[in-house]
Amino acid sequence: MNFSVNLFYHFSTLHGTQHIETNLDLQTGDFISVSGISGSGKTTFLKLLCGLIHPEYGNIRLGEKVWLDTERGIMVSPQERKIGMVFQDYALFPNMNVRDNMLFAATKNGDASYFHTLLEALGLGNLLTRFPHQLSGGQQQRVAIARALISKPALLLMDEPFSALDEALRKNIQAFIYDLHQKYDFTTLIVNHQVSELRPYANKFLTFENEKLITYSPEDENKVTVCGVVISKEMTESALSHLQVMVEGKAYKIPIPTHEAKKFQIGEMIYVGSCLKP
Amino acid sequence: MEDTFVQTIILTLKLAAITTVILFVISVPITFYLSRSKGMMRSMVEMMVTLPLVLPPTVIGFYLLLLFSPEGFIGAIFKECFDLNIIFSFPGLVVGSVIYSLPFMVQPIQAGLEKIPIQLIEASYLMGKSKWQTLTKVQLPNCIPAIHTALALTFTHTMGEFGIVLMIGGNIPGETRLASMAIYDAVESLHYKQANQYALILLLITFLLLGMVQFWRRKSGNR
Repeated sequence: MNFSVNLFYHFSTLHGTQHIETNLDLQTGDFISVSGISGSGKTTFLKLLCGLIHPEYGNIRLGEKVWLDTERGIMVSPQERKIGMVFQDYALFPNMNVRDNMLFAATKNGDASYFHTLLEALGLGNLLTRFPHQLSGGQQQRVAIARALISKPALLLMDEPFSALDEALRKNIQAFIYDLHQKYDFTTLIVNHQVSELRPYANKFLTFENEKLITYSPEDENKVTVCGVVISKEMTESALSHLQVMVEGKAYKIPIPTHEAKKFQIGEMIYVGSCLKP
Repeated sequence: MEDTFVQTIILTLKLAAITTVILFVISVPITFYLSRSKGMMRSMVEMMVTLPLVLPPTVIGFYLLLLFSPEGFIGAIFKECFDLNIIFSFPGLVVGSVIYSLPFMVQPIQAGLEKIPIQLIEASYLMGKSKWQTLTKVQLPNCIPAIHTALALTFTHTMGEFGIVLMIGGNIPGETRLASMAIYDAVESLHYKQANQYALILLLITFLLLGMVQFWRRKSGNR
C-alpha cells in the first residue's frame, strides 16, 4: 500500500530560515534509509511524520490512513499514529527503570514472549531494574530501541539509533530490526550517517538535496563530479594522466591512462566505486 | 497561657498545611499551562501569579478586605450562598494565604517542568499517552525536587505571614491569631520571653523543612 509524504515546512534556525520540502511516494513495508548533512532537517522530518510539529501544508498517508491533510483540515494526533520512535538522545524516562520504560510504551494486550525476545536480542535481561542514569550510553540506546519496538508500530522511526554501539553489536541489532520489520510488516525509516551499513536491508534511500528530500539510488553515492583533467606531458605509453575530483571538500587525484583521460569533461559525473569514500 | 500558645501554634500549622494542599492542587494546572504556553495570555497569567510577590502585603490585604467584606463582591456571594462570613474568620485566612503564597508554589514547579526535556514529553505522546497521563506519569515525577521546594517554601511562607492575615483575619485569639501576630503582640507588650518561644518554634520548623528540601535535593541529585 501507498505511503506518501508531501510536505512543506518552513522554520527558523540559528543560521537563518530553512525549509523542508518532500514529495515522496513510498510503500508501506519499505525499509528506508535517510541521510543528509548535519542540520539538513532529518530530525525535523521525522518529527513532521510523527505529528509533533505541523507543516505549512501537505499530506501524509500511510496505507488507508490519512494522518495529515492540511487542505481537508485532517490532523491525526501523535498519540493515534501508532509510531515507534528512537530519539537521537534516547529520551528515556529518568523516573522509570528499564522494565517500566519498556512497559510504558507497550500496548495493553502486550505479548510477554515478544517482550522477552526483545530483552534477549538487545541484551537487556540483566538491566531491567536499572534506571537510565545507571546505564552506559550504549545500554541506554538499546533500551530506546527496545522501547520503540515493543508496541509493534505501524511506522518505526529511528534517529541515529546505532551511534553508541560497537560494530559487532550494530550489525546484530540491524539484522534483528530487519527481521522484526519483515515479520511484523513495519514501515521503517532510519536516519543513519553510515548509509553503507543499511545497504543490505534498505530498499529505499532518501537524502536532502537543496532542502528537498529526494529518493536516490545507492549506486549514485559513489559518483563524483570531475573538477579537473590533468593530461600528462610525457609521451611514454606508461605515463598516467589524472582526473581531479572533490569528495566532501577534499581533493583527490585519480590516475588514469592518458588516452582514457582525454574522454572526460569537467563537470561530468563519474562512478568511482567505494575507493574514495572518506 | 500555655493553652493559648499551643492553640496559636496549631492554628498556624493548620493554616500552613491547608494552604499548601490547596495551592498544590490549583498550581499543577496553572504551571502546566505556563510551562507549555506562549503569547499574551501566558504573560497575563504569569503577571497575576507574580503580583503577590512584589505588592506590599497590606495592599493585597486591603483589597481582599474590601472584596471579602459582607458588602464586597465575593463576601456578599459567600454570605448569601453559604451564610459564611469570610472576613475575620479562618476560611478568610485560608483564602488570603492561598492568594499571597501562590507564587511560592507556582514558580518552583514551573521552573521544574520547564527543565524537563521536550523529547520526554514527545516520547510519551508517541506512546499513545494523553496530556494528563504525560503530566502525571512523566512530567511531575521528573520534577520531584522542584515540588519539594515548592511545598516547603509555601508552608514556611504561610507560617510567617503577617500583613495580609492581620488585615483580613483580625488577630482573634483561638480563631485567627497566628504565631506571627502573637510575636508582634508579645513584643509590643514587652513580653520578650513569650515572643522568643513563638519565634523559636517558627525558626525550628522552617529550619527543619528547608533541611529536608536540601536532603531530597541531594538525594535526587545523585541520580
